Amino acid sequence: MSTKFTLTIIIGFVLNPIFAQLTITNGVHNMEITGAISGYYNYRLLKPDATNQDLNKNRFRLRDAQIQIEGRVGRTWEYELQFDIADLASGSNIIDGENPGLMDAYVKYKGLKFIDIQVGYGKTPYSRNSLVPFFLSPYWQRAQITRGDIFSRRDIGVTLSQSFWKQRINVYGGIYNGIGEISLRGDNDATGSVEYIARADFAYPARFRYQEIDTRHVPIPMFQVGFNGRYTKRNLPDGGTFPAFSGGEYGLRVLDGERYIYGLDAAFMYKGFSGTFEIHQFRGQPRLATNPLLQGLPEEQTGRFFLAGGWVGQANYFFKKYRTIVSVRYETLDLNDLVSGRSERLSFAVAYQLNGFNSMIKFQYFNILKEESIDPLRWTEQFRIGWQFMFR
Amino acid sequence: MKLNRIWVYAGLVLALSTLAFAKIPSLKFTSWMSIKVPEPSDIAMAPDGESYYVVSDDQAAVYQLDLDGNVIRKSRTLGIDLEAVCARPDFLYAVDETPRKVYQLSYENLEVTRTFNVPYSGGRNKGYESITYNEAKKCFVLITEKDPIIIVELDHDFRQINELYWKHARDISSATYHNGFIWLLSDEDMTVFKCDPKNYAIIQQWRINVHNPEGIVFNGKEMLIIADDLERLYRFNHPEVQ
Repeated sequence: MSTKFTLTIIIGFVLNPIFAQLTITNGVHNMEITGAISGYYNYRLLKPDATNQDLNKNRFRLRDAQIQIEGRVGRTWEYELQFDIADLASGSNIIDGENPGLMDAYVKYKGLKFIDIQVGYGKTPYSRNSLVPFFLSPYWQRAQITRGDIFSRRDIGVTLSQSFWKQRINVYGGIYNGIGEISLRGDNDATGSVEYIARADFAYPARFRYQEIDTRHVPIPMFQVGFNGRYTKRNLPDGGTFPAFSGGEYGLRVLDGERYIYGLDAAFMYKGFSGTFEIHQFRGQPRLATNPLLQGLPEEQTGRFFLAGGWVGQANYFFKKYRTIVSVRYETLDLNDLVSGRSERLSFAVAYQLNGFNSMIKFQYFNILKEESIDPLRWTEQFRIGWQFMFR
Repeated sequence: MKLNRIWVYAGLVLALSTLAFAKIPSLKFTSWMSIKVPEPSDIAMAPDGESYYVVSDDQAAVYQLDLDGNVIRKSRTLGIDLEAVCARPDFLYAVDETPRKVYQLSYENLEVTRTFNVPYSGGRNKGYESITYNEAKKCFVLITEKDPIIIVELDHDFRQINELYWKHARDISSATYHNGFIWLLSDEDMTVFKCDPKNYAIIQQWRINVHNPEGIVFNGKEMLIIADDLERLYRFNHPEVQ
């Protein structure tokens, strides 16, 4: 009896859409409060000969417990505050670039006809994949190259933007601290430098929002191409260091020297089919020939620079009748061209929409096809299955 | 025995699903025209049948268009986010989605003569997206876009009389009253619904091959659909006389 009752409650909760968004307005100032919860079960297959057989990643994980407050004052001002309590409560010193505790805190001024100005902390206009909201993806993890370990996804600064030709062309440019999410700790690094980021994208025949699944089955083929670049020069003074954890997992997010990153992306959708492609190239010129990123190689061999980069391609189909997304993604990444080899991953995802993206069960399978010698992994395959739920 | 029963249940569910997803007839547009209205979000026929009124989300203004889609005149900026329009013999009504307001406009100069507050605490961009006048029940009808779709009936002073939840589409982007029926348009499902004006039950439905359909209106033997992103007005033969 009690089992049946519990089951009924659970099924009722899952199947009944809950519309918990809340908008408060006085006629001029409108504020909306929304949120999201997501969690999954993670299972990894470790290499039998891996020295570390720690299975701590086989776990249930609460990925998101987000609150989002978006506001608009007349037609001129907009603001957003978004934070993830799951990350804030973790107590970790490391800020996860893919899923930080504070996600957005900015104000946007739209009163000038020729340009919009955004000031504060939020996503930087670089990488289409990074700009697509996580909850619009059938995957539980972004591709390695765009998840915040190679370049930061968020920072504090000023972004200028404008759209043209019925929003088919969007142009962004900005200036930021350049140390990514670590900027939230208050100080810049010892260089006091900044990072410049710019992006332009073009869509045809109509505007193309930052999404990757064609849930509408658009009746006309639509595509978008985007170009973006970022530059920073950060020569540390003698004895100076970068803030703890600012280098990220591979020590690439900040560099003692000069760094250029440029990338190209493309997206299309038509009648339920959609695809995205994205490529990035990283060029680092360390200030010192002894920088470990030059792998201890002589300057004649390295020219005192190294390259990193890779690409990711994803193909999707949305079965409207069955409210199901199927997707496959291939990605390759070279962390340093001075070391031979590159990693390759293949992932599959299936997502079943109970209530659109607001309530969706997602399954992702990862397979490491090839790994790089400087980034050995102890697992070969990984499964994640879970539920995302948005109050909106 | 138990296993057999499971198979029977599974078969029943499959059969019912097939019925539920029975094929819906499609309509093909006969022509389209570009209109010079930025982000048009709804359309209504003027009471004299000689022009259209279109609201622009981007400009928060009302445009009057001739029957060939040329702009005749435009109002000043009226609010924040105009999403729906309804033309009555005496006044024009425009819905400002974000601040939850309905503006009553004079045909003479397209100025606001009265403002009604229509509170709704759902999503900021999921507020009232459709307005029409239900002649059968002699009341105004406001419809929220999605999550959930709520049909609200209001008296002539926009006081709520009734509401009902409508669960037959992913969203509703426009509504109009025509030939004794309520016609609803779904953007995400790209579908037109002909409904009973008494209880909004679906009588018939058609798929349309238009990207981002945001407004629906009828002109004699034609159905016109306005598309937001492409800023186009599509002409269809009347669905009932295909």
